[in-house]
Amino acid sequence: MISHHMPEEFLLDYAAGTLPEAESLVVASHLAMCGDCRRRVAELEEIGAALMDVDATEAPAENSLGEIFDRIDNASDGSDVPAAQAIKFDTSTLKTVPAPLRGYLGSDLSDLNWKKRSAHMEEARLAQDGDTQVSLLRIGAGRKVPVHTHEGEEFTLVLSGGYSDANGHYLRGDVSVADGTVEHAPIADDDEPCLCLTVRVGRTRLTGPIARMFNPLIRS
Amino acid sequence: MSLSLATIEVTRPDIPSLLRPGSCIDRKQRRAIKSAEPVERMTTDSEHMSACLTAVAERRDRAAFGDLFAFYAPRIKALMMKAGAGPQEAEEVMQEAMLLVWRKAALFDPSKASASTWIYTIARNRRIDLIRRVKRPEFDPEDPFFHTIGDEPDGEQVVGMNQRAEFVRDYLETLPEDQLVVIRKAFFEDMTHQAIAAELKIPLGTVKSRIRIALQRLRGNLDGAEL
Repeated sequence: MISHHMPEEFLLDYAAGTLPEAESLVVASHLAMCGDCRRRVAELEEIGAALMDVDATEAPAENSLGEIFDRIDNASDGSDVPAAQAIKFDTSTLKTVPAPLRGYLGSDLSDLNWKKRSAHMEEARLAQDGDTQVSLLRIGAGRKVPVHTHEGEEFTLVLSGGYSDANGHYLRGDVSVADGTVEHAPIADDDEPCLCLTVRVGRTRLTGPIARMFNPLIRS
Repeated sequence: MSLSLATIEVTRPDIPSLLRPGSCIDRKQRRAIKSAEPVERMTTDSEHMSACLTAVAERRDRAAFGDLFAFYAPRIKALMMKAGAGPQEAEEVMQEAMLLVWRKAALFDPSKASASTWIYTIARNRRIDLIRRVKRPEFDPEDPFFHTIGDEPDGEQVVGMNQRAEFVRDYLETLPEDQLVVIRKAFFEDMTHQAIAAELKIPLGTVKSRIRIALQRLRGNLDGAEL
């Protein structure tokens, strides 16, 4: 049961096709686990289609339809491009990571390039685009993440385990979007480590008095 | 086969109570509401469009494809130009999208989407691939480890996808212009909410609340619609 959903504005941009790739990855991964948001996206697509139907039109080129039929007639029976070689993931990875995100892993969860970011937190970087960083974070059971705020937005999607912060309790499939106004100090549930997908748009800045020394690490 | 394009007379239900979020009226009631000045507009017969897609899938029916082209090609081309493509590029991307409609028609499931919604998603994805040149991760409904069973509409809704499409279209026409402008920009002009606020010279919060209110109204009416 999902209790923290993707805010509507991101679902709208996803349905409109204008959301950047990194944020779309969070939305798509959340959708794999959230029927409510799937239905919302489907409704938004209905709205987009209706807007397309009633909106302005632009006349096609003179022989446009004929050109399309020519292309249909000349196509080599439209045989499909062979599917890309799929990586064989272990069961734990398959059960934990939804399909859209698996494509960004390159290996099983346990074989990723995990780097220690603080005493109880490891990070595996998956992708980067300018100052947008896509990572998996693993926080030790019952452990705290250093207090931090974000210059840009930070999206967090729980893949296994759970954590709590001032906004509530987050379990598998729950998503949070934090911006610069939020200072948060998540604590992982104490029964198992917490694995999250995070997308940081802009740099994360540590604000706790001791944690500040980790700043260069987080930025590296 | 009936004509795919028809100029029909649409009545504008502009009675204030209809604009309440969550308010709901059935189609017969809506048809019965007459405003002083009926609005004429081009519309599509959703059922006919669905039938055309099915005819393309089953019989490679070129006349049916011609009907789909007549209605959707100008709209898809306009969609590309609103996203910033020039006329030439918009024409090419539109042709690519229509080719995909031909090739993928067998995947169209009228119980899951109207023809417009299905074609909209194809055009949107072409726009992302060919104009924005970025990737758009999508969840996989066939992923055996992530069950998405239960999404299928129940029998009640199956007959309703085309009617839902027409319902949304009709309802869009009742939205206040200031909300419609904002929603349209958010969907088609590749603008952030911030950019919309700057262009319209209104606060960001106003942009967000207009989008939210418009979507709530549309959704409230869809959810409550007795189709």
